[in-house]
Amino acid sequence: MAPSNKAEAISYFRDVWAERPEAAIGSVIIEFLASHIESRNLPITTFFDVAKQYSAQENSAIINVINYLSGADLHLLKADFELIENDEIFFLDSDQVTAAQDKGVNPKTGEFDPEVTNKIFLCFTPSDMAKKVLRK
Amino acid sequence: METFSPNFSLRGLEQLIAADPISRNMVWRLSASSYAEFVNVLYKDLDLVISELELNPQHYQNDCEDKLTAFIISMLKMKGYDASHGTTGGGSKDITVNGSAPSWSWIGEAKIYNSITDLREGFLQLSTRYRNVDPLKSCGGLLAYTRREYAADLMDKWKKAVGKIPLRNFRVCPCPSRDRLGFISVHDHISSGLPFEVRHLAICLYHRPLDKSGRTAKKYQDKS
Repeated sequence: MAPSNKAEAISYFRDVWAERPEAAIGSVIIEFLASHIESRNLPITTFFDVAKQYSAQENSAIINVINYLSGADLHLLKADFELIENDEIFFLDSDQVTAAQDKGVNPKTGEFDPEVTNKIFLCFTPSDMAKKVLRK
Repeated sequence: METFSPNFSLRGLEQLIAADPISRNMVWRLSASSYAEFVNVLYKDLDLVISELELNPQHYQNDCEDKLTAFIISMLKMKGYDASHGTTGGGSKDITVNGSAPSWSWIGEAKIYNSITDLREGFLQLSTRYRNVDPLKSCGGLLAYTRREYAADLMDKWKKAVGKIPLRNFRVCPCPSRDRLGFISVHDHISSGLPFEVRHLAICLYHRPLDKSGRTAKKYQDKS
């Protein structure tokens, strides 16, 4: 889906989610993205704070919205993975994420690390589509 | 922006979404970097969606093919897939799923499995009419909605029948996640000459309970 503006994006989002709580959460988050279109590397908690300022929401519904906006249907969020260790941040590619998830390989050391998935975090940046569609 | 919620790691996120039917497999979807990985996680997600249908078959007894397929497309969309019905590419496909890369597509044909002929026609549409975006990345699926008993036996019959269709280099292999309710076939696509892989799946919607309420309910008696 390639909406031409923010209103279309929100309308499409609401059509997909209908009466579910995600419909309202998504509208709030899309408005937030429009107001913070140059943001980079937002932690997932940013969206929790945005949604919960609007009203109390279940974590699972908020994650469903983030998951959806990071997907191919209405791609407004570009997701990246970062390893945070000893106050240093390393951005990971897909192969490194898979190796960490599947085999516990620490992308920095290349060795088995049972805690590696506790050191990897998702972060989000408005996508190219978001910048085109949501910019005022 | 100042944040108040505690951040959570990949492990924390996985624990949070493990039981959620929509965002489960989120990390796999986001980290898929090849067509094979896209299809692999799509199949995990499709199996979850099919389970949702099979969990309450009583709700779907009177639904037509299009309505059942619309449910599947809706659930795939909520998971973030660019899933649609009726998109062209040789004809009006039942299901098209596009991935985050332009050349990643998966096409599906859905039929109510009343007879072998129904599935045969669906399979022929899929394998000789419709097209993926990229012939080098060609996977599809045949979804068989079964409202008759013993879906596994019905799939065995279909597996024998599809083997008789003259297709170059046709071979079959198991579908471990669906046991006898699914199998995978590969043959050389008639247009490109390249392998076209099809996942054949039964979706079990038979519902005729034999307990006392089931035996006496009018809606089940009308079926006999």
